[in-house]
Amino acid sequence: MDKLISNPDPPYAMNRLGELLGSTTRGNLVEALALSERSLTAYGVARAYNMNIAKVYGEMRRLEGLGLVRSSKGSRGREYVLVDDSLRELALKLSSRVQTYASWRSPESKRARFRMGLASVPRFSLDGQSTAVATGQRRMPGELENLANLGRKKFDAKYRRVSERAYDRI
Amino acid sequence: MIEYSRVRRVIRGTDDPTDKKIRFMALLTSSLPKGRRRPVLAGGSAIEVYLDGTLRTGDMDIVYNRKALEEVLKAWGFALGGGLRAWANEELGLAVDMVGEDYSGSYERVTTITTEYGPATIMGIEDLILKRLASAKFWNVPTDLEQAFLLGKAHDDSIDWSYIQEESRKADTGDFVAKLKGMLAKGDR
Repeated sequence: MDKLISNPDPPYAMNRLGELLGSTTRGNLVEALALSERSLTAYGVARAYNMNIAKVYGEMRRLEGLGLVRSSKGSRGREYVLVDDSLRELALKLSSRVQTYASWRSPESKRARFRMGLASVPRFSLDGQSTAVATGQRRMPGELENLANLGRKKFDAKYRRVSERAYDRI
Repeated sequence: MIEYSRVRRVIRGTDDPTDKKIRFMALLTSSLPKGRRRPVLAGGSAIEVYLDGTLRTGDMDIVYNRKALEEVLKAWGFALGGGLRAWANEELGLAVDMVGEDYSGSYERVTTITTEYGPATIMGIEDLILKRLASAKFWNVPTDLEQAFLLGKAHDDSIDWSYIQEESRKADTGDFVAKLKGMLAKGDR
């Protein structure tokens, strides 16, 4: 996996997912659904990536036809969710917005951060050990909420509250 | 003061970057004179602790007496990196930014995490939110508003909002507190 991220500066600039899926629109769409882990409207995805709405609708329908995406009627129109976990995992691995944790920890990456004063730019992790999302890009709807929930879950797993502002490391 | 060999063993005993910082703070606190205010981990690294690495930063912003802190850092092989207040130890993979001697937040609201290596003191969530909101407003840093949102969302059950409201009036960030509360109520969908 790490060999795929050969250029650490910037390590997540290329849209490898789109390249693999044969379409930038499809790549962005799968990436958006994988990152959000919530149902999204085609309009929301098109707006986030500045893409043609008709193209996004077309791709959504195509992915739904393949059984990779499921749609339902939501308060903001038709909403889509990624149902294939293998595709989600692949999307997170190849996403242009995601850097693997292992790559982030690589000696090259560490040295680069050290030269910059150990990275003033924060990075976001989507799960315990695997990924860190680059900043400076538009976030998916619900992405921040997911990150906050994940952060709290991890915090609670690591520290036990003993009083209002005191914790023990478990 | 704790021997560097032990510091090295303890810090390198974990691969988790957030744990490294907590362990470092605990060892540092245990190496400094007792009976004084403890060193406080502030800034992005404090947010990293509250979100347990979901958001990562590089260096540790530490508030403490500069001379006493320098003494420990030198003994532990840290050298001045960029600027006059950033110290780094490449072997440990840690960098310390001495951000000041006077803690700008409320000591009553700091969080203490007790570890087997000693206590680590982390800037209070409320003060971190206030700082991020001020930065978002006056420096126009949008990611700081995101970070305030992450803290507010993740720890909504332990935040003293009346303190935030009161302090924000003094800092002229009441409008951004309202904005944040709106975001928290609505979510970021």
